[in-house]
Amino acid sequence: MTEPGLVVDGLTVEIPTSRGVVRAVRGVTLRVAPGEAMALVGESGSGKSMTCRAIVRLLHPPARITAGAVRFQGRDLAALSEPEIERIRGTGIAMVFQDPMSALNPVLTIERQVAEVLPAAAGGPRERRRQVVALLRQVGIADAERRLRAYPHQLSGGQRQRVMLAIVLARRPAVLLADEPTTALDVTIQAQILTELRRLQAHLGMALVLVTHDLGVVRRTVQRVAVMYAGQVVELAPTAALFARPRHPYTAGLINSVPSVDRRAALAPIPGTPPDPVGLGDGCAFAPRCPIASAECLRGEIPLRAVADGHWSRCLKAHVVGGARVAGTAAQGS
Amino acid sequence: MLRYALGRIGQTVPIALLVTILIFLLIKLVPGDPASAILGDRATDASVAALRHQWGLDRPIWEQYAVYMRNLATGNLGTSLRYQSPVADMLPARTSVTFFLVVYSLVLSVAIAVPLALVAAAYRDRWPDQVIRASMALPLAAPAFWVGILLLIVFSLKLRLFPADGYGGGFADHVRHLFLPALTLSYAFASVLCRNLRSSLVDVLQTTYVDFARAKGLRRRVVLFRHVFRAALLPAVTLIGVRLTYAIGGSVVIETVFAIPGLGSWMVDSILARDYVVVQTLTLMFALGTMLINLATDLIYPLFDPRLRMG
Repeated sequence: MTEPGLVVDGLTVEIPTSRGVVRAVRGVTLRVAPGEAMALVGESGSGKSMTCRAIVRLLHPPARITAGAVRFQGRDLAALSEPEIERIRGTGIAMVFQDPMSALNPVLTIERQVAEVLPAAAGGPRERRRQVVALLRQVGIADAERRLRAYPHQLSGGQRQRVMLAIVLARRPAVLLADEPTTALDVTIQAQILTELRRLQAHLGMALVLVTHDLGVVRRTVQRVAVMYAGQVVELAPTAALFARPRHPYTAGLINSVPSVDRRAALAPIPGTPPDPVGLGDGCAFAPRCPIASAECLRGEIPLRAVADGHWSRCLKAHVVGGARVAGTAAQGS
Repeated sequence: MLRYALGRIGQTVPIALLVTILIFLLIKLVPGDPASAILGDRATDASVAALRHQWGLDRPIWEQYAVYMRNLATGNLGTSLRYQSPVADMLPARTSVTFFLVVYSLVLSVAIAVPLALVAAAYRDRWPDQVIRASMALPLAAPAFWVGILLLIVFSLKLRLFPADGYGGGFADHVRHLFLPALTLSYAFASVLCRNLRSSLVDVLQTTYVDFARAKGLRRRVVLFRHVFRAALLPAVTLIGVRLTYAIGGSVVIETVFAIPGLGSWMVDSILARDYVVVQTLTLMFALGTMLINLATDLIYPLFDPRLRMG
């Protein structure tokens, strides 16, 4: 029996460097149900982009998958040959990238870059052009005909991101990995692109994995969130539950460090910096920055444990995290 | 785009004028009087003066330049002192030989460099890459005249695979006759082109748009040839232009080694014979050829890179 959707199981990515082996992704386990929208959240270097690249096997050497499996449509993507994974990419799982300027080929026209993903059986040149125009219209590009012969540098950032969406949506992938699709855009354009993404996701019944460090985007866009820190998933929960009561001190810290109109408390940035990715040992990687850490946090591997229905945390003190946050806020108030 | 092209062509005109002045003066600065050189041992003061008057050498220098320019404009390139025939009549045949040689060497360079660069980039830092990079470093240390003589001895004189000199008649015969000279002219460039192309391929392979092309589900071959190769060729276009101008200079040495009746060997013969009319014309031809190649490179470049198409 094959599980529906995408299952990432114990995925580990290592990068050998002159200073030692960097374990960029450490045993990440995720389940993405068909049609579900979930987010991967974390700061730069937490391994979220690397996880996505590993899923579709677009890691740049020397980074490579050293353990774990990616199960999709009854196959382990991590073990497929290059020609086999090529058949999965685009139609099974597609990926869009952060910077739409650098993700489109500067020397090919927009039409060329959209048309090349149409199946060979899509018909003659005229029919193909009609389909390209339809796709560009679908993602909200108004003067689609005029844009056909344009090159990426002639479009705005938002239009380029729309073109990128048109390209991946042409093949109606079952899963779309979106690596910070709005980070490089203006705030107003961000909102438009996210709305577009959500609309198309619902329309096509596609699963969405949204990589972001923007909790506001998470709250508006997805049903479930995986929070990553130092290459691990440290908390996994339904969006509402996560914001209502985070069960990992790192998540609590992230939420407290976002300015909010309705929460009048002062901003509370997380003290310290992320750990050196070389030579991460066992124990909680967040412990050095954690307000409630104790000696036991540094002893041995801490498993991801269920703390409520569908809510998982990699914290030994998950039961007190909510309280710690309240205490922390009170302390700042005094 | 049209404005860019016209502007770029416009820039060439004053430079070309400057070049004619420089070449005109350069010949005047060369020690030795052409009239006495031509008349040789039998020269008398009277006969030298008569010849100088006949050629206008006794007139003020700016007048001489005006005459020179008027002659250029009317296609009168002077008469070879050595052969006593108009330079303009001898030029086309000689030019076509050198043109053939230079284009041939370019084709060979590309044919050698492109496949090797593709393999090296595809197997980056693994043994095929190391072998190709190491072997491509060797030619840079070997001078062309030496490699030319070596090829001549091995392939023409010992193995008798190729003719040792001349140009032959007919296209196929030209290809056979000029193979060794073209190879000699091309090997150093092939190594530069290969290394340059490899590094730009490696750069392009790491770009996000190549990742995205793969994420779209395109086949490896399509990604390589449509997305990677095209973008990686951009720096090579400029490089090819620059090296073509080198090849014109290199033809002087190569044509002499292989006794090919092109512009380069003609130049050497004319310098040795003090045939200053020919030297002057050929220097101008080489200079204008170099300028034309640079102009062509600049005009062609926007066809490869749409970001440069302005106006």
